[in-house]
This record gives sequence, structure tokens and C-alpha cells, in this order.
Amino acid sequence: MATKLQQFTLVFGFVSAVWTVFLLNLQPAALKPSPAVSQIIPALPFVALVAFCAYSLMAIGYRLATFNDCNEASQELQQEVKLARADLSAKGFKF
Amino acid sequence: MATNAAADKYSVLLPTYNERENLPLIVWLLVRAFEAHKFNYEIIIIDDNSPDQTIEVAKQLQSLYGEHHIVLRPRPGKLGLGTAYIHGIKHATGNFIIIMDADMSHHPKFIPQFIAKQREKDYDIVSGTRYMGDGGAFGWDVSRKLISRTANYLAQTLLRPNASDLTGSFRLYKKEVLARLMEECVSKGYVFQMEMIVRARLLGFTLAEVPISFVDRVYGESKLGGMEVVTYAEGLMYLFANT
Amino acid sequence: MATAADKLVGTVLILIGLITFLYYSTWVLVLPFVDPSHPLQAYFLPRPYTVIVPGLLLVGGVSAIAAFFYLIKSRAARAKAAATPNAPAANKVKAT
Repeated sequence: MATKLQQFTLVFGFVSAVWTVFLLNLQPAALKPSPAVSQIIPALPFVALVAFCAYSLMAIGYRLATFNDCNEASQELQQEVKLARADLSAKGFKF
Repeated sequence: MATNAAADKYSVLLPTYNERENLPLIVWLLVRAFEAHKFNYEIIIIDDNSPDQTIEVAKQLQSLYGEHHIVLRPRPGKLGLGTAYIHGIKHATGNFIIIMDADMSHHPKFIPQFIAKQREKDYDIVSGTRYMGDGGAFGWDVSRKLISRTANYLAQTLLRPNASDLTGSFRLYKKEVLARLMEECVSKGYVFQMEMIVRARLLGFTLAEVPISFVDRVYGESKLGGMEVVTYAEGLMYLFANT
Repeated sequence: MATAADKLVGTVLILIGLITFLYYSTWVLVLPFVDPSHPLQAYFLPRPYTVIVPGLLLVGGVSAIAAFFYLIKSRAARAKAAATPNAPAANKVKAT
């Protein structure tokens, strides 16, 4: 199986090639873009990059905002530590 | 192969270094969790010659709970986590291995949940996750959580491992699966934990996750410096290019 | 439950991502179809900057990351050279 790097290179290379064809206006005549669309083409890689970065920020932000801080787990553990100490001492354990 | 539940035995590997305070508490909690469900178990304490005499505490525990439940396999010096697992597997008599930290950040109350999950579909690996359901972490400030979330997001994006927590170290493995993975994995530190999951996926092992709460009581030790960030990034790149 | 600080920082990140995405997509993808005399045009820089601005940010970002790696690695190399050969690297780190 291809490594993740190979998979990425394959997809990235293919998309870049298609974009380069349109950037240099080498595509078949039937696919000639309108003047407005041809203004967009040079910035398309940055649209992808900005979209990816924006998505990443939002995903990380959402996961941060919903990350449990587990206060109850900590309090429960403190209680259990007391129980454990008492029980172990009763059984003759020396801390 | 569906195992006969009554014949299952769980070997907990507890690598320790200066855990004199925590070791009796974690062992007490482990024993309580296993006894409550009548599981067959052993706790293998692998102490790397701690200066605080953790081994003396371990011997007391052994006389308290018996040699068939507490097994001591000390080593002459600090040799690292990966070799501790190899060392532990060699001496383990269970058909399942549980790895966890001895510093109380991993609570034994989750082990019965791991076992129940494993039995559901005879999974090869059950991994504790801080990033799903009721999972989470206590004792981390915002920046620590942000770094953790970012590191996890990067790993998810680059490696697409189909597991939500790659760097956790609270897991249950079938013994032969862990032994096989130990042969494959070359990384150290938490990249090692990540590599275990990624390689497990490549080898076709099945994996399930159980949400855990991670209680970081040792505030001072959990600081992440620049070097940790660099090491993590390099490990991620290594796995991205090689798996 | 996440703490109030987690929610605040998380929400700020989400808003930054959302605003950046909406503003840049409008600029690049919508503006070419809007009449040049339309008032909306006043809120955006001229066309060439759709490439220049993110291009500079990309170069700056990559340089910053490279500089960070270089700094940390050279510092570690110096520390290693200064330390005695047998000094243990005693930094136990919790999982990320």
C-alpha cells in the first residue's frame, strides 16, 4: 500500500497539473473561461489553502471548546486516595 | 478466535521510576477493579532502580497481595518505556496485556470497560481516548489543551488512523498482537504510542476505543517545551512518509 | 464540560476561521462577478493582492516554522555538546 506521503503527492500533483493547464490557458477551446472566471484562476491554490487553514482553526477551536476538564474525575480520585491510604494502613502497609 | 472468558488473564505492565507515593494507590485501585469483576490478573511492576526505593514499596505490596498477583521485574537502570514493554511481555503469563502510567493519571476503573469492549467483537486492541464522549483531561490549562488538540488534529489529518487518540498510553492488547507490534515499531516517546496504532491498522488488527478521563496531578511535569514540539513534528513526518 | 477559558479561546478560533474564510472567498470568488462601480468593491484591495497577501503570509509562516525548528535544534545540539557524555536526558513527559 502506498504511504500517506505517496497518496498526497499523487493527488497534489494531479490537481496542480490541471490548475497549471488552466493558468497557462492550454486547455481545449471548449473550456475557455469567461473573463471573470479567468481572474479567479491564479488565486485558486490560495483559496484551497485558506479554506484548509480556516477549517483547521474552526475544528481545533470547536474541539477545544468542547474538551472535558474532568473535575469530577479528579475529586473522585482524591476521595479514593483517602480510602486507599486508610485501607492499606489497616492492612499493615507502611507508606 | 473467541476466547473463553473464564480462562482470560490480564497482565498489567506498570513501568515505574520514582513512584513511591503513587504505586500503592494505583495497585490498590487495580486490585479493587479486578476483584470487583472477578477477573484473573497480575500486576507486573517494572522498576528502573528508582532512587526513591519504589522497589521497597513494591515488595510490601507483593507480600500484601501475593506473588501471583504482584510480580516484580526490576531492571538495573532507566532504560525507557519501549524496552520496559518488551521486558514485561517476556514475563507476562496473561493472554492480554494492559499498559498504563503508574502516576495515577490513568484510573483502573476504566479497565473493566476496556475488557467489556474487547469481548464485544474480540478486538485486538482497546485504546483509551481523551477525545471522545465523556473522555477528557484534568489539570491542563488552556494553552496545554490547545497544544494537545492541535497535535491531535495534525496527526488525524496527516495519518487518518481511524482512531481518535493516538498519543494515549492507556491500552489493552492481545499479548501476541503487542509482541508483533513491538517488533515493528522504532519510535520513542509518544510518537511510539502513535506508531503502535498506525502499524496496527496496516497489519489489519482491529481496534476499539473507550473514553477515559486523564487526571494530570503532576502539574510541573506536563510542561511542553520546544524540543517536545520538534520531536513530535519529526515523528509525525516520519510516520507520514513511511506508513 | 470545558472551562470558560477553553470556550472563550475556542470560540475566538472558530470566529477567526469563519471570518477569514468568508472574507477571502468573497474577495476571490464573488468579486469578479460584481460590477466595478459597486460599493462592495470599496471593502477589498485590488485584484493582484488576492495572491500577494496570502503568498507573503505563506512565506512568512513557513519561515517562522523553519526558524523555530532551527533554533530549537541548534540549542539542543549546543546543550548536548556542553553536557558531560554520561548525563541522562532526564525529561519525563506526559502524553500529548
